[in-house]
Amino acid sequence: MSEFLNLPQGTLDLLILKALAVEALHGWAISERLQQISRQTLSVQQGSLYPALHRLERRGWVKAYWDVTENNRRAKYYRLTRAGTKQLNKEVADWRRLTAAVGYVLDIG
Amino acid sequence: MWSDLLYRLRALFRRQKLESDLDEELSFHIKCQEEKNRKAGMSSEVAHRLALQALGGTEQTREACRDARGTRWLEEFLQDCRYSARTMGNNKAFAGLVAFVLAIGLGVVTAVFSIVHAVIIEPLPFRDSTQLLTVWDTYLPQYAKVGVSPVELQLWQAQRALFQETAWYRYVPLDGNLLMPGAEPVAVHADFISANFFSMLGMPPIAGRWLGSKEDPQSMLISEHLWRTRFAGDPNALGKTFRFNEEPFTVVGVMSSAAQFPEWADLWLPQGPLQRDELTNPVRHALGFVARLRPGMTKERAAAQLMEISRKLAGEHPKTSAGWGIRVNGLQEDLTGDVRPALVLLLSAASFLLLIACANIASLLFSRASGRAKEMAIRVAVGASSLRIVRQLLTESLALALLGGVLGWIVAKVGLMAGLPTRAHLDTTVILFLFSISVAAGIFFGLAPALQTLRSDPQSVIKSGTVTGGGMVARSVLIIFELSLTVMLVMGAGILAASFVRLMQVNPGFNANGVLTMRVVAPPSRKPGELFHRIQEKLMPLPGVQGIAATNALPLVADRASTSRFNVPGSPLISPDALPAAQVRLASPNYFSAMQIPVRTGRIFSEQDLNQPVCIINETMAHRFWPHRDPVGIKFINGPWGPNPNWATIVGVVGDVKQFGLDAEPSFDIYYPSLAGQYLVVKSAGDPLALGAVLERTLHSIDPELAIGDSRSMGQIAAESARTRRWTLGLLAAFASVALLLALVGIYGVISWSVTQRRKEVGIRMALGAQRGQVLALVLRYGLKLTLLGLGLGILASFALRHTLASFVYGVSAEDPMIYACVPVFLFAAALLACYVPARRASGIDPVISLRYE
Repeated sequence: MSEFLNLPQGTLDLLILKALAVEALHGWAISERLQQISRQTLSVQQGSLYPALHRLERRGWVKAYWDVTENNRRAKYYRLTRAGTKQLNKEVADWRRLTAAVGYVLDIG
Repeated sequence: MWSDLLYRLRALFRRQKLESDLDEELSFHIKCQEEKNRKAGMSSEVAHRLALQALGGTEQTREACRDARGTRWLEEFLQDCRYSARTMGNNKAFAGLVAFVLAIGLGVVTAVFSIVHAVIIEPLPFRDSTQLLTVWDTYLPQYAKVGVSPVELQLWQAQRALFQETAWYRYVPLDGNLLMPGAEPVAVHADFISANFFSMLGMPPIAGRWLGSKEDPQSMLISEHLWRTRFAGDPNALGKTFRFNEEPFTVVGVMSSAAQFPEWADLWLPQGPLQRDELTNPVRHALGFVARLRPGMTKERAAAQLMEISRKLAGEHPKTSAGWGIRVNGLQEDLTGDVRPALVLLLSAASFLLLIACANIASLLFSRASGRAKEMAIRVAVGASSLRIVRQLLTESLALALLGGVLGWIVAKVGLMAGLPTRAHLDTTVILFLFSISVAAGIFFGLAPALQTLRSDPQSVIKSGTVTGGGMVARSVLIIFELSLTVMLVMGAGILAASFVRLMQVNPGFNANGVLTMRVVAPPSRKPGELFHRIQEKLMPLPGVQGIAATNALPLVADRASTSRFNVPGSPLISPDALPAAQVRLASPNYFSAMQIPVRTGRIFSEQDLNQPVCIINETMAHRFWPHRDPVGIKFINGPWGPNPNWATIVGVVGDVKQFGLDAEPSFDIYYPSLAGQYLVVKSAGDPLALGAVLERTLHSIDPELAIGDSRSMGQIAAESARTRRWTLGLLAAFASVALLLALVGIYGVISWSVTQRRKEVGIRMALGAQRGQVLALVLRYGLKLTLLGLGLGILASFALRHTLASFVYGVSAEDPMIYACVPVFLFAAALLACYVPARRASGIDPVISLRYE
């Protein structure tokens, strides 16, 4: 997996929140969505997804509930809470500022 | 914030549910991945394996999720607690021993602290009590606390810049006769107070009211004790009128015994006709002065200003004020000053004991840690973090400490019930204190062994199964520390014990054998002489009675002293600016024979001396003022005030009597012939206490209105006068004995342990030809090194701290060479014995067995 970029700290949370911004998803779907969003260039360890989800739930940014999938299977879904939306907006803004700054620094270099 | 907390709580209490949810969630994920893999054309077996791989290990993921819940530390803590409980359960003897040792240390400290707390720390139950202070007079170095005179009272009352409010009380009890219809008369201690006295202190009555500002002088407040014992707590007592010293007084209020002031008072009267010239005569010093400082004013600033005023006063009125000074105390300090040093001493001793107990436990934990070294090493080897292990070991020692704390609470409770003379109780503050020192102790004795475990290299431990030399230095240091503390305690107890023995050997100047004393308060209309003669007539024929006498104040009882200044005109030994003062004692002619006070020169009083200007003085006064001659027949001024000073002729000199306590310096005493003293002294042939009931009955048959109280033998009075010393010594000796026992067990344990550690070495030595004696010497040498270091440090520390004992010492020096020699020799012998037993065992080691061991 050396061709993949490793995720910077905290980015995973942002990506999860972003994935959930559109609709509520279960863990597997989030994992698939992350792969898509990152266009296969970022390595999201599937294993690190669940601790992150639990952390987000503890902070009150996502809410977990059990539901049935289109294939009629029970799965744990996560949806964004109001606090989560706020957090997402904040993190997106932060991220933009950061990447802009990084780009700027790189340009200079 | 809230949701976070709720989440964690849910995580904690619904752990099972969360775990099964997590399992289901993860297996759903794996199934989805499997399906995806199969669709990509893998065999179901490969698909499953790769799905698991992609997740990166289910167990790790689960662990990571548990971490994310944020309850891990708490779960681990609970796990540690369960583990500790199990370890303790598995090793009950060890846990029991530790908890027991600790319980003694904690219990003793807590019991002593509860007394210190009740007496010194807890503010008096008065309103804003830290703002209250007292002002006393001092006269010459001998009189450190004397009441203020009316002149000073007015002066202090005028200091409006310093005081918000001021009040006064008569600080010596007025012995009175309270007549109650249909009941026995009561001998009471009455006090006179300014009307605002209790309202200033902020002490509301439990029934009725305070004295008002324009109070009827025939009103009285009574104490809760008197109310309960004599009025059966009857609320109807309020408003009733009783005859006190034959004057009618109406009860207007009952004062709570929880905050009684002064402690001896049974009733309080406003300024009135029974009070003599205490509020007008400038030479009377009968008043206690209490004031409330203005907000923002400090005791120190007020004291400085009052001193200034006092000095000025001495300049303006040299005749009445020379030689006088003042003394300003916070009220609490004033009331508890006497016991303060003893309490501080005992609290320090108790803390020493606790430290010794902790050192012992730390030492025990060290040996246990080496026994568990393998367990810990394996845990480190399989990946337990060092922090985690320290935390677990600390949890264990804290659990032990808390168990010790609970047992210590019981020890303290029992100790306090065993009858220390205090009102101390185990309230919230004391229990918090106990809890905090338990935790502190747990950390103190748990941390070092825990850290020790970490330092050892797991690999070598697992290989050899033992920790070599682990904690040896630490344990040696602990033993030295323990021994030196023990030396200090035993030394202190030794010095106090020697003092006490000396004190008990002191000749009080009278013979207490067979002497019964009682306070007989007659209504004032009775003529003292006539009454005394009738009493004498009736009591003398009673079987066992050998003599009857009367006096106004008993020896060894300090709080009834009456003092007066005198002058010997023309004597170069007296400075007219600061006349000497003497104790005034009224004595019936046979007082000296009843008390067996020896006559040195001259004679004792006869009936003809009554009301004559004659007196008897004591030896110390005779030697001081008439050093080279017999003072019998000499006249001197015994009342130096007014235009016509009073003169008295000395008719005899008697031996010194300890008027203020066995340890007091002899005072100057002047006895005057009188039958008016309220204390009846009965010399009997047998047990004086057995006479009490008969005497009381006979006295009531003479006059039913006689009030009788305080019936005690002189022996009881002597024992009581040494009470503080007795319990200080008793407790200190008990602490020292326990400390000694702990220290000996400690050194025994360390030497035994070192023998176990060096078994192999000893085996090799013996295999190479070492003799038993040499092995014995080897082990003993180590023990002796520790003992000598401990004793040496202890002696040095004792010597450095010897001044703390100075105020408790009587008749011996705080650096008494005998004690400094005996205590270490004794401790050395005891420690030698404690080392000898395990050393003996070492010399019995069979080299073959020891070399095969493990």
